[in-house]
Amino acid sequence: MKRSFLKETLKYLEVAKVNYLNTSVYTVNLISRSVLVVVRIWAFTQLYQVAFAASRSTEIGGLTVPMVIWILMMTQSFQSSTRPHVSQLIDEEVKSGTLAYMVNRPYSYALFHYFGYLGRTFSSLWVNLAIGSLVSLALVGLIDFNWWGLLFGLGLLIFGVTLNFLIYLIIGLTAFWVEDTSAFTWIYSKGQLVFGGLILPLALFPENLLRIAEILPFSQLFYSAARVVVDFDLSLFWHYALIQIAWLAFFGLIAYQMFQRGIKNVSINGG
Amino acid sequence: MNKPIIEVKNLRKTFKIKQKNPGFFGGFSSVFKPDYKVVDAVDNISFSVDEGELLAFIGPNGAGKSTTIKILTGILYPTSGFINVLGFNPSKERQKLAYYIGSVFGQKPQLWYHLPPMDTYNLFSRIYEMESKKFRERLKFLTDTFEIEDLLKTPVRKLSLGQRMRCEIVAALLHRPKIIFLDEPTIGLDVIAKKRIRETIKYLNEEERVTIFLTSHDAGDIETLAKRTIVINQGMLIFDDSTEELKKNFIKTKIIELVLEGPTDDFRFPGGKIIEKSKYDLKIELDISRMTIEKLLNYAVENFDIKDINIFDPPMEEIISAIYQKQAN
Repeated sequence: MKRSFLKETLKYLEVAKVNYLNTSVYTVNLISRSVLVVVRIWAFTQLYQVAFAASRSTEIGGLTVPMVIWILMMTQSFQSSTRPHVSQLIDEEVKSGTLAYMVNRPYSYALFHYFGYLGRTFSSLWVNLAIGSLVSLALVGLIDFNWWGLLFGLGLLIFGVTLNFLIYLIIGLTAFWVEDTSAFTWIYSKGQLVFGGLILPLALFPENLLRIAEILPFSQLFYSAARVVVDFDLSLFWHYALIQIAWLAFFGLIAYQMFQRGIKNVSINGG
Repeated sequence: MNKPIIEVKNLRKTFKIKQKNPGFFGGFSSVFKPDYKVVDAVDNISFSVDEGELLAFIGPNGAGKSTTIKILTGILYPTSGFINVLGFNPSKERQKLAYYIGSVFGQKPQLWYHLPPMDTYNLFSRIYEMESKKFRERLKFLTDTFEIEDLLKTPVRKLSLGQRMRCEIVAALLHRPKIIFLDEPTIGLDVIAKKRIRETIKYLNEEERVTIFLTSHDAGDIETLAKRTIVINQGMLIFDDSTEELKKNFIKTKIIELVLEGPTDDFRFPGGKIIEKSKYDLKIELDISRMTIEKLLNYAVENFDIKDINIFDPPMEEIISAIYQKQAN
């Protein structure tokens, strides 16, 4: 069968659409995630207002309290939208043998999951961002956004969610060799929490720690995009984009190798 | 003359299953010194299937039938042997082959559970790269044939099992596969739903000339549908002949259940063995090589008021064990 780029593209867009629709069925679930983001933004606002007041400064590491809150609102919204974790789905598919039925279809297993993940992420992302923005606006007011920041931030976000997908894909694929992948997911989520700018923007880190944190993959998932959106700086964008591309290439290669090796070990319950 | 579209020669599949000793130290030691047990799931089987055939591939649990189907569809890699399906080697050309085969695994639904079947059909039309016009025509034809027009917009979770299975089969047929693998398509269905699924399978084979590779534990499925039956047990092929031959040689009994208006105490029919009896209900095992069902029913109608009659085949396991017994002898 002759491959056509248009047909291939439409195929994966349909996968994203079906996942979008499937996630949107659970309206209560979608809104409940946003409620969690709202509660966290409120708590962060109280915390950072007190912290900044105590240090008697209006700006730390180039960020004001409203900038910190908008960054955290975005990182929390981005991260919350990527659930359920792809690793959980793949882990289940490997263990139950469903993976074998999926690789039997005329599509790439990784792309099928990637576009499915994008569909699910987008379905809750816009809800989280809409509600989160309204709450941030009410709590700390509007900050000085720049259209370039939004555009370049979107680019970093696409790289970031792709990087997040690849890492979860790798964790999920370890199910070919280990019995329980949840420990890896736990470690990864804690890495995100500490170095991913989910509770503390990296700009507030001491200089040395900041340099290390910035080159780790955790900060390049969601924080880099949020940071560029609130305070656009082209050189910072390129700095982050290059780190992301390097990690994408690294994790992409590992995922590819793992999949090629793992698929040969597929065994299915029953027979 | 039909040509074979599935060819299998000396197919083997072995699984290496990790063994674990019980207890804490047992689990601990298996980390450092893993112990594996090798299981021959498919053990040197050969057969071929002609274009347009409706073949039953049966065997008890763990016999290797699903493993064989999974190898034929490219899901599993064989350990050794030659396989050719529609000119493709499934383990090397899985994705190319996927455009020409369809599969329904009764226990692995492919419809999206929370969405209406139409969403899955749209997705499949893209996955199999169908042109919009051809997809619409095909869907219209299938929805009319399978009478699922009214179900297209209902979320799958709200469909009955029978309705869901019909929708599953439609999903597998959208891209006009040349071969369809049906693994337990009637599992868990009631009598009416089973009948309907069987009719549609028959229709597919006779009208659309789709080659059907069917596995089932239900002797009724095999009797009604398949002209040829292959029996596999412990990974080995133990019977490959017409279903007529299978019935003649191995299905020698029928179970007849009668529900009477009055008590069953006086029921005495010499040609049958009563295997279950309650006040108004009895089950009789009839050796059909010696006695006809008609004679039993005549006796029952003449002497008793009948409330209900059911006729069952013996369980497939019994037929298999009869074949196996014959092999052993």
